[in-house]
Amino acid sequence: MLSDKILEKIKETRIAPKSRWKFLLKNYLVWASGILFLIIGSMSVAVIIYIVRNNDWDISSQITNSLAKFILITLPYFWIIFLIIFSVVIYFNFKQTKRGYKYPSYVIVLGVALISVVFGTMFYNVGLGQAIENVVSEKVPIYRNHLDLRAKVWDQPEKGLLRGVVEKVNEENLHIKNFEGKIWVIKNKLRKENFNFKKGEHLKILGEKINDENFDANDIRPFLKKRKNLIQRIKDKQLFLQKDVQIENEQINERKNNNLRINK
Amino acid sequence: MSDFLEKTDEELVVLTLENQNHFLYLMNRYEGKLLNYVLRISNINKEEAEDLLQEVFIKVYLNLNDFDSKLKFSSWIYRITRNQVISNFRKIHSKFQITNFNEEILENIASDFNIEKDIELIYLRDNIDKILEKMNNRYSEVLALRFLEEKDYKEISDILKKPMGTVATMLSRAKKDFKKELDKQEYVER
Repeated sequence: MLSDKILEKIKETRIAPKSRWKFLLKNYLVWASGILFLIIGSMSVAVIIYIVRNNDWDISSQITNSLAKFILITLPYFWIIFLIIFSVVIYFNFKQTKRGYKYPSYVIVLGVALISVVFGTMFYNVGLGQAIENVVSEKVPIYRNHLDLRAKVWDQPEKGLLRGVVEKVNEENLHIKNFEGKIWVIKNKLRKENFNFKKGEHLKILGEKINDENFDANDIRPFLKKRKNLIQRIKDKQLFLQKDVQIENEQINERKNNNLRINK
Repeated sequence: MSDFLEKTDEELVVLTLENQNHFLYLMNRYEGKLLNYVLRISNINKEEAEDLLQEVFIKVYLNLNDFDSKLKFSSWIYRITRNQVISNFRKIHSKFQITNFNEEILENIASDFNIEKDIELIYLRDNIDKILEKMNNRYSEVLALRFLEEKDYKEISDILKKPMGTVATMLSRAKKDFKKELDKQEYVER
């Protein structure tokens, strides 16, 4: 019989079942990589939330006359694509798990989306979205100059939109270098304290092009908001509360003193 | 010996891991069924099917520790067999072909598909190979598992690694496809 022949072959060739730990390890690796991809996907959600919330909504009408167009040109496409890629990876990763095939595709997609949004919001709340965007913008020039389409909005001096890194600051004007290496002289139409920038700082400027070298600024703002991590924010909150308590104590003391004076 | 015959597949898996001789009981239990399954879903001869089955049993033995006890052993071994058949198809550039129908199976199909007239049943007996051959492989395969291997939805889901809802949809489409193909063939013959 065939079965007898096979058993003979197994004995002759001394085949043995593969160890259990190998299968367990493979299984754990699939799950661990899935969790890692999920964390990366959630981080990109945190960056997307940060970018959307900190978009230049207040000056949107100066950038373009249509709100829909403003949204379209300032969407964080890089991070959205990043999120889609990781979601696809998570989807196939989950399908690779032992029971992944039991779930319909839409359940997996919705599950991944829900978990990414929940974790992404948590990451955003602890300042991770801002931290990632700042680090990537500062350390990865290709992202800053080519992949961040939102930043490219500020590479249109003809339309009064300019960005660059501070080269030199003096009382009269500000020298900034754009990503192509061209130096622009920003005229000080503003108050002096608004020119309180440091060399190397990345700025975005709203104004008017005078000629190929000079630019009149109406509004200058840091390209990226300065990062405050969770600890710093807690410290700020504590300081704020301490000040509150201090003021309250002072008011109580003052009232006491007043009462004493009246009594005397 | 009779003790072992009463054991469940899952118990025999545990026993095989302790002593390889117990694998014989598992193989005896599935040899006939799987050989028929392989012959039904492929266009290879018996010798080739036996060679393929040998590879299947060795693969099963090697991966015994990966068997998930929450799954039916029969679903697991059918899944491995199916995958082996597919990989064999890729090697020899062949394709799925469902064959080997007996009277009982034909009656099952006829009653499930509401084919009641005797003439149609006779026609079905003579032409089922042609009908299945014309059908999409995905559908003929799911029909084969349901009516030839008599697997339930859960087992088909575990064998094909597809959600139960997808299996139900595939079966319903397969039935429609089968009826359409049957009507078409009858029309051409007349």
